[in-house]
Amino acid sequence: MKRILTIVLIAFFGCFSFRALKHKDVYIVHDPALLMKRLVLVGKVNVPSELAPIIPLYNAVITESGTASYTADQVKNTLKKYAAKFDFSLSEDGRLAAGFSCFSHGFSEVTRIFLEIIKSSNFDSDTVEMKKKILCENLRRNLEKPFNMALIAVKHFLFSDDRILNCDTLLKFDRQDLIKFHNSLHFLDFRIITNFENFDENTLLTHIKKKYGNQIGDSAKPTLNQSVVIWIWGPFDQYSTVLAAQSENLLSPKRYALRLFSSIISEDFDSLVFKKIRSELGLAYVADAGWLADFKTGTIYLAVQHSADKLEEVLRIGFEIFHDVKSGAFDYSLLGNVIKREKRKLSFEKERLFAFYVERSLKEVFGLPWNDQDLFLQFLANQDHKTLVKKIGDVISLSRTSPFVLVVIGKEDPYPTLLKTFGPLFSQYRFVKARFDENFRLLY
Amino acid sequence: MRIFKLLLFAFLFGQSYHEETKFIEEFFKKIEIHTLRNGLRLVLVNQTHSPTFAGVISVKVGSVDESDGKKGISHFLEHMAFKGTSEIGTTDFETEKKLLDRLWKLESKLMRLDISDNERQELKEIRRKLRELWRTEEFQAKLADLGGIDINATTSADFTKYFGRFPSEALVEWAELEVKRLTDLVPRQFFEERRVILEERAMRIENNPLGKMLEFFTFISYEKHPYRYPVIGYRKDLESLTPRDLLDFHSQFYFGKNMAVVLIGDISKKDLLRVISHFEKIPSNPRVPQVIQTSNIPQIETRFKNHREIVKNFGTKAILVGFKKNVYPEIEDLCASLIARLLFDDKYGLVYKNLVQTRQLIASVTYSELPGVRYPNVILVYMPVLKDQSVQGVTKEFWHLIENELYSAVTPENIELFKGLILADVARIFENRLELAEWLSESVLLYNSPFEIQKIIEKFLKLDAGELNACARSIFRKENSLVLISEK
Repeated sequence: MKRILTIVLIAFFGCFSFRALKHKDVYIVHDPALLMKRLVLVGKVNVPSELAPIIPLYNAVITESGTASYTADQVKNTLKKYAAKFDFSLSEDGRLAAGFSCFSHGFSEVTRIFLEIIKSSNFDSDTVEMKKKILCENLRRNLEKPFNMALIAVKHFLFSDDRILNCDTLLKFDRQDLIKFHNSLHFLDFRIITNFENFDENTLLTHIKKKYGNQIGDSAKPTLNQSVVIWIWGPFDQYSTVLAAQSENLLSPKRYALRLFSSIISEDFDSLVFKKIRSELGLAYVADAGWLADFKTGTIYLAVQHSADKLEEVLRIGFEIFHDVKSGAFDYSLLGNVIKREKRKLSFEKERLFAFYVERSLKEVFGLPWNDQDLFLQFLANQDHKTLVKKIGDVISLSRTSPFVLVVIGKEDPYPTLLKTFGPLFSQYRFVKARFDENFRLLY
Repeated sequence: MRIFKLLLFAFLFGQSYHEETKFIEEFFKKIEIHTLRNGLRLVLVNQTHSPTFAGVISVKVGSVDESDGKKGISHFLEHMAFKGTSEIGTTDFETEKKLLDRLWKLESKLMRLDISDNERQELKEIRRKLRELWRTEEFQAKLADLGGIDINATTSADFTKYFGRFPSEALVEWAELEVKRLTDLVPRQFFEERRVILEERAMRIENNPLGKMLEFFTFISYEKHPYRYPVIGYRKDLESLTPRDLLDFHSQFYFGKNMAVVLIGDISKKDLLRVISHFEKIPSNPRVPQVIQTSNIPQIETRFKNHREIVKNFGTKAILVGFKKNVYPEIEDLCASLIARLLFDDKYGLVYKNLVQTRQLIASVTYSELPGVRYPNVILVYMPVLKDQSVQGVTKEFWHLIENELYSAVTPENIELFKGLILADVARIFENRLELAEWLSESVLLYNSPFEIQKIIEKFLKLDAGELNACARSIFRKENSLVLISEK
């Protein structure tokens, strides 16, 4: 087979990796830990904002509805024959990660189908209708999962995002909408990572490059200008509480400070939130916090599931921790721990070489440097603790007096507790009573 | 060491799976087993492509080993194993020990509402002093400082496992830390952790419709056997457990012969000797006689006897169907795995094809083997029913499908396809060191050898249409099932 790539062999700690240097499109990664053959396509794709609600349906249908040359059953039978698993995930911020694993003898055939799917998935009406029903049922079942509800409500209020998917919207989509959406998508950049050597790169690249295009500008996310406190009724004795504020996205120059903040506040068992809320006070089993970001948006958050009588305590301590970190009033040895642990974690890159290439490639197509992790370590190593603490303080956007969103889900009205918690500040906040109806519409 | 029968694969699949089976064959060739002086089995697999290792310590203890009134104790103990030792987690153990003894007495009086005002004041003061002495999460921090990731522990009906992935250079320190917590556990912050576990129970079961449904289903599946009780335990039992109970339970089950350690990764011979010397510090035998002897309980007879359909609402619209079966080394277990996959696979199974894809009555179908694998168990099928469908109606359609189409689905072609799917699952486990280490440790504790996994694969691939048909007829029938229906 003629290779179109300039392949350079590099020694990589006892195993060998081929890396394409000229075209930078394909990585052939020899990962000695893998038995199954894999191919993953990661890409930066334009996603028109107004079409975002169709994405869950698109992800569910695209690999299961056949192509121009294969019926849905033929696809299924081939996958079954080679024990192949397709994974297809497009997210709202334009991240595409699609690929498969299979037995080596099925690689060529599965690749052919995979390419057909990328190029011309059929979106047959029967599959679309079936998946709509299933997705709608899954949406409804979120009503049994308070944390899911809370996170969806946070997104809605924090980013004035009214594109939350509900059954009414979902059931209106049809095959034509999916085809239109599929045709509107194009790659702004992509990479292919595989551990199979003998495949036809030309065909692969030709198929994918056909879907190249220009970026469509995305409107800026609106800024939250008033704190909003939302109570969503749910049949739960335990409260699910999420406190969140807007932050930077993954591409931000402040990302290293935010990663460091996330590490000291919640990443490990000895981090501030886990240690205080769970270990020392026994207030919750789930106590999580940090910086959550994609390539478009970012959030600083605290999420806790706790008994109703502990709401005031949880919020008081949560705000205190954010305040202390912002003002540098915490044990600086935590910084040393993070630096030490991050360095030692580098060893694992060789343990999961393939996954490492996928992760870095995905970041690369969005414009982050391949050595972003090394740069993070340099950021940690090249500054004294005092400077790091200041940088962390500068990125913390969550406090009682700056705009935040607080969602509390549970049976009991938290209003009296919240009034007590926030005192006179509460009059400056917007208080909302909301609920999800049986079609998963957020009503308030 | 057994020779892995590669030829068998080749015979069954031509040369199709040569690469995959060669990998597995090579893997088993690398296994070393060391039985330590205390009876602990240490399994080692050297993989040098990365300077890291996955370590799993499995103890053959779970909710099945718990006595009445103490349900949830093995899981509670697993939580407490992160609280440190006499050297880690405190600034002054001698002082702490005295305070802890007094704290436990006063807390017990408080629980019985038999506490004076002075004692209440004393309790408050002791708590304050202890908070000053404690170094919360110091043990966990030490593990993290080794550069470990995925550090955690789990408890099931059968096993308690402590695991993580670490840089190879940290192996000896890891072993030293693990042995310290396994031999010198101090149940500090007991009352705080109890509140955490009660919140965990609230989240997993009391505020979760499916959690409640599963708890009830497991309870009615077994009439006497301790498999009927939830791993997390009952609120009432958890509230009455004491630190002394935990220490006694620990002494009954945490001993060398009841444990297996599996290490997969880049491990030097020199380090291995030091690792062994650490693990040999674990006592050989229980220090306290075991309270419950599950091996003495008649097993099969204690499960549900006749087919029943129970309707009870849990706040969700779903069906659970359980089929009784034996466990390995009974060949029936392997047959059941394949037939269950053929019926209930969430993409290719008969039920998915009919009730999800074609008729759109349920949103999905999933199955698992519950509650454990040490004793005869149940294949449990979960089907969430779509909003516009009648749950009872869907149940009838389910039985109609099983009774009319099961046998025609067990064709030689289907058998080979589903064997391929299961073999692929096995291959994917071999790609994940932690998951594989857990599997090997279970094999050691259940069958005294990690190589039993080879035998299982071998026997599984030998299954023929006759055996599978017989198995389908004996297990996957209405008379052998228990059904729980939640209409809303």
